[in-house]
Amino acid sequence: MYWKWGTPLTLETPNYVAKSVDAENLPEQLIEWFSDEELLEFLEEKVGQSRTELQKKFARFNNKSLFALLIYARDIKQPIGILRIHIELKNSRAETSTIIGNRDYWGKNAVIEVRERMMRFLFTGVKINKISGSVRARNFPALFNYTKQGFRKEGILKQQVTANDGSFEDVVVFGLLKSEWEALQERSDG
Amino acid sequence: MDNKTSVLNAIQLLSNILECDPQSLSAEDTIETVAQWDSLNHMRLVLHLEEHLNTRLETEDAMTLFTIPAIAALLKKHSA
Repeated sequence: MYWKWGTPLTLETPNYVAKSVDAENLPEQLIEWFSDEELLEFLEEKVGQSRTELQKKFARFNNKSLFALLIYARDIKQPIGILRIHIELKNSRAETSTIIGNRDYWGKNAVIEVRERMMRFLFTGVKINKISGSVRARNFPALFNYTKQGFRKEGILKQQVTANDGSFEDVVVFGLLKSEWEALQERSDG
Repeated sequence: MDNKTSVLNAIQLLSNILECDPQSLSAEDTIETVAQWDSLNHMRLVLHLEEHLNTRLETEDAMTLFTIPAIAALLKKHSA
């Protein structure tokens, strides 16, 4: 795969294509996801941001340290979600988060399939040493996906955030080292 | 509740969520071994357990529920 640092990135999988967001041409679906209170409950995002606000937000994704990739489902050729990556080259570490905005694609392996491709890109292409993710404790699908993909639970941050209902909520921190990922690859290949 | 009963209850509960034959599940099954056990069904499982046990699970407990033995252990703990 050829990709030049700082240029739009495309990651392909059998069922999905993840492409860098063009801040000037945000799809309508993305605006809708950022107005969806239920969807945003597990993210640190303000509900109901305008197109202009979102354009400003996504213009910061420079395809160097910050990536926002729209996930397109090949069968409907429409964006169904978004994958964000923050790379800290100094620490050889990346932090990621994913939202599947189109509910028809919940439980359809989209996160696992796209994140698997992203992990290969980060570990073998960018050559980083560690991928991390932080998940609200009530986001059970995300807890499932990180666990299924071999991420280790590194800790539970107690009452770290406030939920929509005003209660405090824990955050679970996951991590996966390159060496652990390589061992998992060998196991699945063997 | 003894161990055998809690495992059978865990299998029954999971098979209801996954809409599969309980005979197709075994006492050692995990998220790695059961294809239908996906992220959405997992959310249904945890929410069902909370309703069934009439409690909001601690994160530490919710983070174990990726195997039949762990579901059985939770059922046993709450039956005591």
